[in-house]
Amino acid sequence: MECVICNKNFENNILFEDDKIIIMLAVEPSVNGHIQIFSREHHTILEQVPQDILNLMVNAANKISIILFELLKVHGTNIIVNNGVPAGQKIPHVSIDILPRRTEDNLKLDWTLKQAPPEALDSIHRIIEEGMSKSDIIAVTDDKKEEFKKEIKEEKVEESNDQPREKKTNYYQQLFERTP
Amino acid sequence: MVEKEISEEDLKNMSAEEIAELQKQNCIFCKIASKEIPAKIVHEDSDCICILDINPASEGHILVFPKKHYMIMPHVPEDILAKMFKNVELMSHTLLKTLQCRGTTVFVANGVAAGQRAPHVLIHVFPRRENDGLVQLPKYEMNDEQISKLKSLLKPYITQVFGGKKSTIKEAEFIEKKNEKIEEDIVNEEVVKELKNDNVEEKDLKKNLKKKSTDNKNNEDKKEISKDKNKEKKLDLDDISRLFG
Ligand SMILES: [Zn+2]
Repeated sequence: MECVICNKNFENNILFEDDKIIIMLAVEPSVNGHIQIFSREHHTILEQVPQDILNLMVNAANKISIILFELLKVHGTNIIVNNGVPAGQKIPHVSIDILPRRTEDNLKLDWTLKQAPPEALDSIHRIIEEGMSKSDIIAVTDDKKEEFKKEIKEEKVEESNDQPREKKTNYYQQLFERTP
Repeated sequence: MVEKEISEEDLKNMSAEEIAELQKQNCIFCKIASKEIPAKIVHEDSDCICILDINPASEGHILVFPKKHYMIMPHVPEDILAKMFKNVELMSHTLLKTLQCRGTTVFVANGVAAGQRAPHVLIHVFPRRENDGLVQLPKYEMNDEQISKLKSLLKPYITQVFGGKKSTIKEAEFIEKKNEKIEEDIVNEEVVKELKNDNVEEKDLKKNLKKKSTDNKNNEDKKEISKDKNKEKKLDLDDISRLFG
């Protein structure tokens, strides 16, 4: 396993760990007090994390938020999951990031509010509704997650066999491709 | 409308409960949940609703939120939070499968300082594309001394809160420890100022934490507010009045 989290490359950052979750000082902090919560078991992205583990992770995120409010006297927190390399995921092991915020920290994480034209919203709404009506999307069960995991593994094998990329049907794979 | 006649001065004289109640009555997201205000609903269950954000960070931006009014994520009870994230996962999955995107970001802002714009907790789920410039996490350089200082501050406390080697988190114990810690802090700071206009959010948070704790701590609410919250308080009040205006 080449994962830096599973390998414990950052053991010194660990604040707490048990058989389900790992809480640590962020590997690449964006602000002083930046904390990351990882699943003990290796999962690459959110959709693969079993429900009970995800619940432990999000509850931990809430408790860490409160701890940061109290101990660091911060004015707010951001809870962020970046899912996929293009979304800024730096480590291919799913994490929930908790960033303490202060009113004067000059961190610009939010986006400019710009209202979408009603037609654009309508058309996206239709596409999403259509997609959701397909049964394979609605049921993100733990069984399904196992399948996703296998799909990713198979894709990796495929890639090493030098098969052309165009043939890939698994959209998860592209979450981890960096454009050159 | 009655709300518009409430001045900042009035707000200052209101209790946290009164302000929370006012917020709830005027909350757009509560009205969307109750279908008083129309929205592009993508999915819903008994406790949560997922809608398209009319001010999308990127095309396909979805908001997942509880139907019941909670201001920030730490206020949301565990069972509702679990449902919210089940929806988040479903939404992320849907976006990845239906739209031309190469990732998703899940984003929550707790507090105005974190970029929270409405007093109803919202989980943003939006598609990401290469070089879209969204949610750029800068690198913050920390030296070894800073790291070890931070670690020694957080680790003992986190170890207590998350309770040894077991994965079951003892909520009650967590709250007890929390209150002890707050008192310690106050003593350490040697400044116990009574703020007349306590920060609503902070006060709510504390109250929430105390729910399962003993009742005889009620009088300490004000003492618990630390002195450096003035700035936030002002921002919150501004924000509240802006939302009412
Ligand atoms: Zn509301």
